[in-house]
Amino acid sequence: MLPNLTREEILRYSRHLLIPDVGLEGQRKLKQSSALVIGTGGLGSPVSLYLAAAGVGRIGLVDFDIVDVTNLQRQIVHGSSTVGLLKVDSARRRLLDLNPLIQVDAINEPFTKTNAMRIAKSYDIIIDGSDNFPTRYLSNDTAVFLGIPNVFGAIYRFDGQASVFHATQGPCYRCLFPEPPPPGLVPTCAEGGVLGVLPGTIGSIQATEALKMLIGIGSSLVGRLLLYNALDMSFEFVTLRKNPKCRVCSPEADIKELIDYDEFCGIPGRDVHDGSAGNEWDITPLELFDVMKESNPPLLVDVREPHEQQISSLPGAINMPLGAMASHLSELDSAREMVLFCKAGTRSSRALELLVGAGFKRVKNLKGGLNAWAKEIDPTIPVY
Amino acid sequence: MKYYVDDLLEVQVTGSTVSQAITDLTTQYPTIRTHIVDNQGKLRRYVNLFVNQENINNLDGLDTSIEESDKIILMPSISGG
Repeated sequence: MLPNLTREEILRYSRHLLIPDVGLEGQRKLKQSSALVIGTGGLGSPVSLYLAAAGVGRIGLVDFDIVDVTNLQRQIVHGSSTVGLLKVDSARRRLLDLNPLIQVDAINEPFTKTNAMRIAKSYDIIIDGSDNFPTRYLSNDTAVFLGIPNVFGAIYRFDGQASVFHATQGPCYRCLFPEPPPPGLVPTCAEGGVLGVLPGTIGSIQATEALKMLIGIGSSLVGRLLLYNALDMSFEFVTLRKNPKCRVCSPEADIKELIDYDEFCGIPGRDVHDGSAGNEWDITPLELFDVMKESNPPLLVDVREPHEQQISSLPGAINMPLGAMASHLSELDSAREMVLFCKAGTRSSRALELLVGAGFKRVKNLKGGLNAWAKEIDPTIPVY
Repeated sequence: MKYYVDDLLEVQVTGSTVSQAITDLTTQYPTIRTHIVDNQGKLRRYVNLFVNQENINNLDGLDTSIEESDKIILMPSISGG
């Protein structure tokens, strides 16, 4: 039995009620429905805003991060007034301001195999707004095991992808990507950048698909993948089909419960997000400052993209972007002491792993990268 | 991926199968090869190739025949959000 709408709701949603395909019944369906948004960042922002505006009765927000000023270039559910707050609280505040007639659950936890089923089981639909592969596989598998749709979106620089994975009707995420790329191969938005409005486009598409599914109208993206490129404003659609040997959603599935997704994606236990390669491989900004005064200082290797050098740099550094490093190893002298650096130490940590794997031993990672150098040694260098 | 092909979004390639097209692509732009296929020449499991919107896994894989007017989409997985 669908809930009735109050007079206040009828007024608020009048523009929905005027559409024959939505009408009173469609709006009542939205009131009754619930959506779980994984991530309140670039994608989660527009998704949650539009679902709230539309009157989805209950929206769950999962994130464990804090609002940072660098988020505000694209994470439009947050604001300068909420920098420093928990993201889920910041988003909840904004959503309830937009629409106080709905319920918003702020779930300040990382989405993991331990809590995913418990969190997701009371929702009708999952919207994947996460920013890493382990969580994407987790969201997918959770949706498959619960039999609910997983509205997928992913972004990088100018490229966006969107689809709806619903294993009871079509393929799941693993049908398309049985395995993730090796860690570090695909840059994150923090490492490679993203056009701020890009998640707005893809997130709005995710919200559209979610609303269509919840109301039960239109043709969804189940079985199709949208490939969007903002530079040439192209929208391509490719066909997706169920993998008859999918490990999670096929009759031959051998994965019947949530797994260790960090292990599956090859993510080491240590936290690479702190810009550290491990104590024995790190050099702090202060240590590097001292060592650079010596008669035979180490070679500084900047593993960022060439255009980043215009923002900040260290004198005398050579540039060897991480993405091209594997094919330029012969240009580096393994007998020479080297210090690798990047913006925050993440890419240089990965570069270090690459070099160590290739037999280099006299190599260090500048812990925390140029941002840490700016903080501790040279405040004239801009942080970004 | 366009990073490895001089920032082009589209590259002209020749070949009568997808495998030959990839060989032509990696001859033109060698640094992209390792991102598409492994040392045995098998397609990386995190890369999908579509010929005219159909995944080659649902056709004849790398042996899928192609014609001059066909469009091959090379799609890596991305995870930004």
